[in-house]
Amino acid sequence: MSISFVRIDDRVIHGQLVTRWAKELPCEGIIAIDDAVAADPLLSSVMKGAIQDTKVWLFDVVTAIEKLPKIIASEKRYFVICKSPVTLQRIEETGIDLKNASGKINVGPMSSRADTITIGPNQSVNAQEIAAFDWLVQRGHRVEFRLVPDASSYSWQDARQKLK
Amino acid sequence: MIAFIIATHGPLAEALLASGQMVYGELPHVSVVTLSEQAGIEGFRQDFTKALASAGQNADGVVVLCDLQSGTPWNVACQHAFSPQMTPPVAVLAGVNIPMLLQTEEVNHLTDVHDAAAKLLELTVPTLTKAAPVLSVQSSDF
Repeated sequence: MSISFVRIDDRVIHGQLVTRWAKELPCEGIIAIDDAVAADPLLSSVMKGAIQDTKVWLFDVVTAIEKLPKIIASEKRYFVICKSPVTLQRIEETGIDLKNASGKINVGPMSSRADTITIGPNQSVNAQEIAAFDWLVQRGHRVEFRLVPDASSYSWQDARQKLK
Repeated sequence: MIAFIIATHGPLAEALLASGQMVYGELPHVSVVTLSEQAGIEGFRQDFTKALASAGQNADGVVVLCDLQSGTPWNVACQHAFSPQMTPPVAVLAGVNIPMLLQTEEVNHLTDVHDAAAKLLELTVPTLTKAAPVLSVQSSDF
């Protein structure tokens, strides 16, 4: 199992935050998955420089699905980061298993948008994301909302209570 | 456990803490003191003494993060830091910025205040940097 950490963060790669997690968990490279970022060479050139001395790959979802089996089979340990639980669902629907050494899916900031409900500090979800989180939990994933390693956290089940 | 106080000219300290909390969530080991034109140096001295007593209550030491070397917050903080009977011990840094504030979280578990201050400074210096695009072609070598 060579994925050491799976994170949802709507800034994709936020330097200080990823650096913080990389001090806590083994990280020999970062696999960032987002169609919009991967299609934008300028934004890619910004994000690849987010962390000194750590390799960053940026893939659109289709390419990620193609590359992930090799990444999972590797001896090296990687962080997988994407913007939305919907992306993780799309990946797992192809049969790829994102169970990872950290034992959970970590969720960082998900900004509030027009159609979202706020469930925590800087954490908001829309109907599609709610369905995707439900789907991931049903698949046996632990979903934990936590900005940085030492911060307080709550689970998707806790968040679900607030949505009723 | 090390506690931290941000001490600045004007409202910078409060704003820094609010901005830091936006990125990291709560930062319970950090408090703030500000020097205002209304309260002046004497008012600051009193506020700082109170903040230090409160921050030091359950801590092995307090690191004061000042905006500027040799300004009033620094001068007042150093008077406490250099006083031999000061308990818990106090260390003072200048140049507080967001990365320094966020990285307090990586040294607050330490017990030696000077060790914590030195590590925090070491973590902060590389965060002053110039942007450059990374244009490398992605390998398929995982």
